[in-house]
Amino acid sequence: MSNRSSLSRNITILVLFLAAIGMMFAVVQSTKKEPTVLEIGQAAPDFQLQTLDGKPVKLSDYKGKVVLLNFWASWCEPCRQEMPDIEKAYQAYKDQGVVVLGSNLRENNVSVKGFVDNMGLTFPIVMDKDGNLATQTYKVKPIPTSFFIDKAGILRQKAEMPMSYSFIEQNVKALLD
Amino acid sequence: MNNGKQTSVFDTVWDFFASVKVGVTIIVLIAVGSAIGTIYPQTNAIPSPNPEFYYMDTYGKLGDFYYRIGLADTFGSWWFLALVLLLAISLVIVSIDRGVPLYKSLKNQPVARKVIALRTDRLYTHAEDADESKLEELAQHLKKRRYKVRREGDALLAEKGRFPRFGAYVLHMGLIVIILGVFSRLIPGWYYTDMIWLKEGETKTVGNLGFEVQNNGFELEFYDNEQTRVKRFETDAVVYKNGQEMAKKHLLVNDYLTFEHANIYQNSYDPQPMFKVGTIDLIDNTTQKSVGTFTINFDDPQPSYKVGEYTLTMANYFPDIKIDPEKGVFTNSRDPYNPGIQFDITGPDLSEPARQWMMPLAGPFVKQMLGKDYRFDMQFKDVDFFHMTGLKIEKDLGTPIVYTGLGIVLYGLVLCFYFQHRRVWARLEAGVLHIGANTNKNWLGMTGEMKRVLVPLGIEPMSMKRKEEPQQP
Repeated sequence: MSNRSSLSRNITILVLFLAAIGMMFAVVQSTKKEPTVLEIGQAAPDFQLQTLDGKPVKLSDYKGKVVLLNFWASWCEPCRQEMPDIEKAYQAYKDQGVVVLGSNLRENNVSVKGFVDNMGLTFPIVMDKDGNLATQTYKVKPIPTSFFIDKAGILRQKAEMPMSYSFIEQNVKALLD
Repeated sequence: MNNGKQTSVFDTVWDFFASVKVGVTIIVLIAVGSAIGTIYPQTNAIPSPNPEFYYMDTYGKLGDFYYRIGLADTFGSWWFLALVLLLAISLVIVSIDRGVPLYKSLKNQPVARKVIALRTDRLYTHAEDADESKLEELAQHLKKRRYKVRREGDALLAEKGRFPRFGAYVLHMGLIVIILGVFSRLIPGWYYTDMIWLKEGETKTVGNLGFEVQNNGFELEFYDNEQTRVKRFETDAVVYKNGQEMAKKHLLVNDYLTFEHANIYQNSYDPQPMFKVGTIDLIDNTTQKSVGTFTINFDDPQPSYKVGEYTLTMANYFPDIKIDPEKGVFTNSRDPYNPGIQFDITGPDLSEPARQWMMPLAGPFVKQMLGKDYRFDMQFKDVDFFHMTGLKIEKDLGTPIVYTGLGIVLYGLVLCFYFQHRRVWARLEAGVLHIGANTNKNWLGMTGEMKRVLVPLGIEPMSMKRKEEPQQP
């Protein structure tokens, strides 16, 4: 009797713990199921959007160039911080085949135009009006987020912070060689 | 359990969870955890999509700690779920540990007990000069009172309410069903909860539920003119699927719309109003006369507006303007809570554009400071504000399971509290009928019942002996 009951006991305990561990595992899995991030080394997803001037622009238009894709908004303080450095880097490297695309997150053209004029930005701004490019296509979580895309259209570096001139320069140079 | 024999890990685990103390400790921990979880708002109730910053910013270091250890999402935190699962394990083990032996012993209980044992029953009586017919009479009376009577020679066992003995285990089963119901949300597609904020006319996709919700109009009414006490806030909500209107409802608090098992609740609103449309009168300060009016849609501003002979070009538009001595002028958000617009005004009598600010929410002092050299004055003739509505979307297919569990729990409680397991033994020996009775609770009721059975038989009724409760299985 004691043998049989202790066997069924052991089985009960095993089943209960396996079930509990399985549930915990499922919980951990389900909480981790946040949108995945883009892997460095994969091809940068292509997109077509309007620029601030109303011209259509495609990422693939810039094949053969190094692209710095920067996600920003005028209400984001770190984005405002890094803008002068991005502009400076653009000025320094645009002749060597570097393009900056500033993707604005869901703002109106008038505000963005004012911001661009005040900052003296000269690189093209694309208007991500519904935010899909940032949240769906590029899985951007915080802004600013920047992607460095090489001449072949491959994601080479990602920065989730305000970038300094030297950081941009270092990454751009590596991709130009 | 082991009588000093070797103890396996399984036995240790079993004994640990079979302990009532452990069970109670787990329950107390769950209660304490839930209570602490109410100190700060949970992540699903904060007005920010970034809990990792919100708690730090709003409540400081303690708030950050609170968020980090998962208290900000108590019911989703690993330690809370672990406690609940431990409780489930404890419930199963306790039920098996106690319930199975109880079931077996009640199933195998003998009809005939020794007279010496009957005499020690808390309720005991005997009748002299009794015979078989007396025993049979007793059996009939007990049957009338819905006892199940078993006979074995000159012995009798009458029993009723055996199942309520298992009330506690029914309750345990109910709790386990509830826990299963709660964990059913792990099944993909069974559970969803989110808050969406909608401006007027705005449509948003609801997570991965495959439909969109539109705010077709939001109404807000206060009791008082100072707008401190809210009377009602209501949204005309429309549900779209694949571009087609599927359902619509005027949502009130607690009057929700259900679409494909998802409930859409009016939950809250943004207390800060936003500018929607404003009609502005342009007044020439030199002549004090109106040049004309123009209308701005603050969510969709135009690059320029024509008023009379003048053209107003928006040089800068800050929807939510902030002026900081160090950081300069910037917008705090993308929404027109506090618009600040800088116009360049050109006209036939202006050799160069006149640049001037318009900040409707700026105080009179700022206005005066800014406006003293301005050529024009801009006065709002008419302005529409709106509030964002906050809708809660909730889908939980496990709810019916949880309610079933609650029903079982209630049934178990009723069994525990209002029903008793009553047993009567009788044995005829040497012309004396010995009768013993036992109940698991409500001894007074049992005594009364026995009185009603025994008095018509001419047997002296029982009275309770003052002693420890007999330990009948």
